[in-house]
Amino acid sequence: MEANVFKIECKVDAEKKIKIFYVDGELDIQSAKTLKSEVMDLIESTGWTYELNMDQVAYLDSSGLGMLVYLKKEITRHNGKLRIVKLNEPVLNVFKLTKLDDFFEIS
Amino acid sequence: MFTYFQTIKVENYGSKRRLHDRIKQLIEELPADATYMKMHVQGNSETLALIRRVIVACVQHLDLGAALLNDIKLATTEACTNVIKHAYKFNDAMSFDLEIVTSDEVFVVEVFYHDPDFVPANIPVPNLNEIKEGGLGVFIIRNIMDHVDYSTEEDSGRVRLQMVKILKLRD
Repeated sequence: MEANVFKIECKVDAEKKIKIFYVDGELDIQSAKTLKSEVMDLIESTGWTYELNMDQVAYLDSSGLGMLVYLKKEITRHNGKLRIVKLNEPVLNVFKLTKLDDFFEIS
Repeated sequence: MFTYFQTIKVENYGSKRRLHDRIKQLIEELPADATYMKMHVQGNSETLALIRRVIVACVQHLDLGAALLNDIKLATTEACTNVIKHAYKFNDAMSFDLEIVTSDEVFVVEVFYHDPDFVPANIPVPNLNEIKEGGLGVFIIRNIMDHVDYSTEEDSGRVRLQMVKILKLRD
């Protein structure tokens, strides 16, 4: 039985100062560590937008949410902006249940 | 001696007592073809994905739909994460037990673990207006499951968390 295969791919548009992270897998306390290291390694000193494309994330729990809160705070501290796109319905429901859909920019 | 701390959702049942009676009846009258599953799990977060796959395997014949299936995976993962993180503090030499019983009407999952310091009544209730990075696990469990029951055994430090989701509303 396969474990959680969690992958992140990043595409950079230097001209627009956008980094798009394509997240693939289940976001729980185990994979949240991978998300943290991948994003934190690529945070610039100032003024970039970071987009998390969650189209391939079918599962998210409070540990994954907590990591997203941490990343948003870190990105804001670096004068950047975090945007979360393409949330699946079960994942969006977790944001709504915890009222974090207002805290994040979601589209 | 056990102490109990219960959270019961009463929507669709009119009163806490009626919902409680219905859950008790569903558990006592489980059909012969109910699915039973027991797991002895290492206290390691790498096991969480495996637990979710076992849950899917237990209910795949029931055609629950994505939302209901996600609720029971989410509640079980939150409960196990709390054991690994808070009770065992990521000590993977520790282990816990998971028992699942499901029929086409009810899903029951019980988590058994060791935490002599745990007091159910002291679980903090999060203020959702304060954005924090943690503390939402039990809040989520209580909001998506129909019945949540912590019991503790003072002498041994054993904790049992029982979570119930009714899969079919009463006609």
